Amino acid sequence: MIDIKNFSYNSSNNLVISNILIENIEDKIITFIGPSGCGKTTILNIISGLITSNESSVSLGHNNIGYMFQEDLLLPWRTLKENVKLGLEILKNDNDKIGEYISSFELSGFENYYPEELSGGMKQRAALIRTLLPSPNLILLDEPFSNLDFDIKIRIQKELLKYQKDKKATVLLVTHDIEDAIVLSDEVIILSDKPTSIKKTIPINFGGVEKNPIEYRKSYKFIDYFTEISKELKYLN
Amino acid sequence: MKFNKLIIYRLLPIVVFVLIWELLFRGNKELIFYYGLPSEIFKYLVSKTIDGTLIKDFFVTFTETVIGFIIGNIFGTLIGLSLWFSNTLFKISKPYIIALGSAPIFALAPLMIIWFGTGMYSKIMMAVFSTLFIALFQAYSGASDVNPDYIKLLKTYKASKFQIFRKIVVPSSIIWVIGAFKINVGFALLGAFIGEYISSNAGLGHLILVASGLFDISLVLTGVLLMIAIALLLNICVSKIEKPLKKIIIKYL
Repeated sequence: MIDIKNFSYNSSNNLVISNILIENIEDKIITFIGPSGCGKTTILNIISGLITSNESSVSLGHNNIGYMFQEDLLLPWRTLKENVKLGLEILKNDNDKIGEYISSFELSGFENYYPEELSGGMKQRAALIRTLLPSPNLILLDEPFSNLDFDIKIRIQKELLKYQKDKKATVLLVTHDIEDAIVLSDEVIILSDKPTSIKKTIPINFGGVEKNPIEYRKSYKFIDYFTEISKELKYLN
Repeated sequence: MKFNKLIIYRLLPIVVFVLIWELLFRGNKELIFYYGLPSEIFKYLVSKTIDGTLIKDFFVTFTETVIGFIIGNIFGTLIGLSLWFSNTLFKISKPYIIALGSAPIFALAPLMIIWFGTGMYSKIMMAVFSTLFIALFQAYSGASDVNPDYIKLLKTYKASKFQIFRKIVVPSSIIWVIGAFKINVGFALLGAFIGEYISSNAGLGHLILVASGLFDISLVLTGVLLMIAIALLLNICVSKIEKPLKKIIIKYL
């Protein structure tokens, strides 16, 4: 049971976030999109418990959280394989799917490389593996695709969609990329400038077809959603 | 081939220097009295090695330095790293650490002799105190230099403070700690030497004190040469343990 009710957040007496209400988020991918510096990351930090808000009501039940930050945060003294195991080590969890993940993210052969020897895209993929290995059912993603080439991005998005479907996980995604938001989400939440509140929630529905980041991009509905969202984000005009 | 050439080039300056020294000073008693002579240093190295006195002095100083170095670095590092757990404790102890770290420990040498006697014990304590505060300060600096985002990452897994310490703080401080080891080779040796120089009946400090009292410059320089040898030996050891130490920490912590 994941329950994120009304919450607000004050930072040095300034209201930063007011009355964020998200309901019925189980088994869904929900994307936050909004102007830069509007507090998207702060929302994820509150949900994950990194920041405590006196006015928040976030109860996560027995859910495992996996939080992937904007930066890959691979530890430079660990190899790729040792890095992806980090979460498992802390949680004392024995997931034997490490090899499986490494090969499905096309990182086979790089297990013993150190982060400084890997490209930005590889590091980002390793960070996603680290996030998914402890089998979280609430995944928080903060701009996870920002450093990636298009082809790698699509591949990772497919892996993410597969994981979400298999585990019936909830994914909260923060991005500034409208296209990513449309092709991945069940709901797109548009945030206002500070103090952050929900400006509009747009349910995304491509009519029963299985989610596919490429096929969705080709459809007319995609253009409609794109138009609708960019109209809400006035700063783009 | 390339490596051999490098060794030759490296040896060239010292060989030239020693040759000029030897050729210019040979036969001139006054110059030899003041500055010594390479061939005499060599003679001392051979004769005193054969009669065993040099080996004994070498090992006395070597042992004092190594034991003091190990104790000082281990305690300093452990205290420095564990101060990370409590910011308040660090803030309280900071002026003391800085004061003790910058105080000339060597001024305490006479006290060490009074407290711990004229044997090896007081020299080991000198080496311990010369290294402890440097190791402590370096270790704490390393621990407080940890990238806060790494700690944030571990917190998302609800890691305990001790887990953060083991997985993040210790490994990321290791470069600072090794840095302290490298600096401390010289300080440990200096601590032991000064202890010996003030009061002792063995060791290279003792050898140098006695030889300079007799104006035997070649013998003084023999002692200095062996001190340098100890420093080089320890430096090599420190650079050799760097990699295995890192591996062990990542694997077992």
